[in-house]
Amino acid sequence: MGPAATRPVVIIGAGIQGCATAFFLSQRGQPVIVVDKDHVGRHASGVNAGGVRRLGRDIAEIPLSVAAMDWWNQIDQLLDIDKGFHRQFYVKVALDDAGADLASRRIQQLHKAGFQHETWVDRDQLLCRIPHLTKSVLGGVLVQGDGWALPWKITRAFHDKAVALGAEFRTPVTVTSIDRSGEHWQVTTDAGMIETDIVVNCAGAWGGRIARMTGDVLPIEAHAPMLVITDRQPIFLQSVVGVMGGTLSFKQLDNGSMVIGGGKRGVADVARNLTQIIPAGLSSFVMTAGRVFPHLRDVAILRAWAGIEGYTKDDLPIIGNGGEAGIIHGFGFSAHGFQLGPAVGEALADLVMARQTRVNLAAFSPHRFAESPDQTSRR
Amino acid sequence: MANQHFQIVIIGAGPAGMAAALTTTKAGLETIVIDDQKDNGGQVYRNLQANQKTSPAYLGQSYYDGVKLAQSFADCGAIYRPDCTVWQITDTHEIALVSQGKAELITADYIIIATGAIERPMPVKGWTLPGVMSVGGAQTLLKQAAIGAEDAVFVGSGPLLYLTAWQYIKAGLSVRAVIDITGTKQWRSAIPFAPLAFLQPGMVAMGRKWLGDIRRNTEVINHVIAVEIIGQSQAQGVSCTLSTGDKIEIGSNHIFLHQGVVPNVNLTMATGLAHQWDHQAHCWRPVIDVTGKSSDEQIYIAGDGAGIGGAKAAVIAGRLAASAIVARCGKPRFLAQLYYKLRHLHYLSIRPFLDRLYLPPAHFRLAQADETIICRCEAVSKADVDAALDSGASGPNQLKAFCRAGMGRCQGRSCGLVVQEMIASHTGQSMTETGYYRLRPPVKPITLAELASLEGPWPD
Repeated sequence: MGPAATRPVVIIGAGIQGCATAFFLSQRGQPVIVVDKDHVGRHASGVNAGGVRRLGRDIAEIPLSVAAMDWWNQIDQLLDIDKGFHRQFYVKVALDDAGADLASRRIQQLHKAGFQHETWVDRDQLLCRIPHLTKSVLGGVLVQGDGWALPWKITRAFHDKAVALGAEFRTPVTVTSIDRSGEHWQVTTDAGMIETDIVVNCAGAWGGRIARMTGDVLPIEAHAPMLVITDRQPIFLQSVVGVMGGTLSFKQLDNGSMVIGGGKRGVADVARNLTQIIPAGLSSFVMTAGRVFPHLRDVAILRAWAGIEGYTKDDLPIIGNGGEAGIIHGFGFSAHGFQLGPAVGEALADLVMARQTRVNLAAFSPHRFAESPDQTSRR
Repeated sequence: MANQHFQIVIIGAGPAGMAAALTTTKAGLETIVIDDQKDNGGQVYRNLQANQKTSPAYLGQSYYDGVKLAQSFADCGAIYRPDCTVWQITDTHEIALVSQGKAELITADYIIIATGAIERPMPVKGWTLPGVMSVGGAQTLLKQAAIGAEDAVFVGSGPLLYLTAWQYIKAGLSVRAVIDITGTKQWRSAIPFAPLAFLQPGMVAMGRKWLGDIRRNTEVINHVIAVEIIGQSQAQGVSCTLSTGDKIEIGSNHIFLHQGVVPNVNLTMATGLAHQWDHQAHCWRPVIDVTGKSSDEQIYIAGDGAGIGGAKAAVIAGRLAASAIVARCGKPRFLAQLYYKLRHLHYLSIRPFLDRLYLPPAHFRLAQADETIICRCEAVSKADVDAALDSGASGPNQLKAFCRAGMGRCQGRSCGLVVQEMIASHTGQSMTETGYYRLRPPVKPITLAELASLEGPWPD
């Protein structure tokens, strides 16, 4: 099948979604130009916690997450990299009865929906798998085959591979307006105008602004979830650990450093590209980490940071065709888009080529907001 | 629990911080001084109280100049919190501390940051070998514990190098050699500013005395254009190349390196204050007005952390910033401020000369050999940085992701300037365009339990 358009498709945003889309399109021989106001993986895609999980996802998101896992399991061959995906398991531990209760309800709910990938493991099994866990753990919900990856490395690898296949990246280039001109679109940037038939909006926290330029009103809020990284310790953990009913993601990197994320938000300053850490929030999720791994009391924290991420009202991403022909949106991943990246890139490439997507994207339709503007938040 | 609030929070108890506290407490403002050292005095007056008892002469008169200031500070009524580290200041002027294993948050009407200077990195081949340390480190050992090494070699340039070598000699330690990298080109650019320097005749005389005493007691090697530390697992000596092309090798297990000091901007940058590249002193410094007020109306910066001026200038800068704050609290201090402004200018009159004379030549600011380690925390070599630049890293923050330089414990203190200069020379950009690392809290490492203590005790 030949390219969908002779003019290059313009992708706005060089995060994981934009880079993956550029990769799949380039692989299919479709010329693309990716523009980004900063550089590749500058925000959430480069600095997120790196969780590669199907565990704990909204049921609507599971098929997409499962499709993404197919790509993750062959990521090294796909992108010509080494150890791109640290595949082990991801577990959310129950630290108290409320957590255990939540776990059993979650597993029942998934079974009812026809998914078997999340399973309960009891205390002894869990302590056998992770001996350093607190002895007071009750058990946990586990997905075998989930794991973690280095966000910047993967985002960069999609970029590199896309470039090798002919994609063009222009950074730092800011889009100032998008206007229809007859049958095609004019994307005006601070570095000249690009004419194209199809615009793909992968602008993350800035996606709402880009959508507005195309005439779509898609509400998006920017937040900055915080993370910390610690000094190196002897390796004691290969898997990723979270907490049932809490917000924790805990992993140890190959060099021994631990990355701890907790969903707690810092301050996102979208206009100035800046984030600020809030000490009390950090303290709260580091305490949760302490409840799970008490032996880490005296380990030093080297850095805390936060990446700017776009959140939708229902915490599900916006993936699909916009109001006008030739506009495709893929943003608003609400802090769980990294693992989805490869499947989203594939799906957006399918939409560009006007093909049937592998996964049904109805739950992510941009139009869900237009239809019910006062839909209540599920958060 | 509500945060404790103070009218004035001073960070750092060196000359600037101590002097500022004298002024704010005298005006009746509730003042707390937070210091990450065990005792007030900063680096320059380190361990002054203890040393005063035995008063070793080798520390020199300039050290004991601090006695009166330290005494007045002890009596001034400011709350003094030694062993207490500031690890973040938020936009809302919430100051995060950690002390004795516990974190605290305090707030302030005004903050004076007086965190002083750090040594400029000197990335010569072998500088990470055991036996090699900075001159500042060597001087700290001397002041803190009266520890010195026999047969050491001092390499580099700048007042602190000569002072410490002089103190070594006066302490009766044999100094094997002083290898001076100051070039004739620097002399030529500094000489026009010599008349200004003579507005500080005391300082000029002191410097001449140090140099004279050093020459009489050890070998001084000049016209050095390249330096390398010799040794595989331990420093065994230093090899230097002269401008004539000759090579000299000197054996020693103790090599002390120094090529000047620069403002310690880690806290001020992490706080998000505006900074500018100082072309004369070749370093970053915070943007301040004449009283020390930063780009944040509530935050002042005094002393070497605002631009290198030395201890005496720091005292005046501390007084000046504090006076400006006192004035903003409704107690005009026009004459005092004018007096401090003039005296500050006077003390700085020697800087144009010193900055030019002791600016290390570019080939000493940049590493020469491929295997030279640039980022010590993450063991990133010059070759690694070059490779990252070749593969498209376009700035210091991207470079972190490409090769991990600047990602370790020290938050770039020992590689930031080197990496930035390497990028600038690779891209042809100015240092301002290249910019510096985005710095992240905690400004100094704190433990998980310390951070979590804001919530409660660490789980068992």
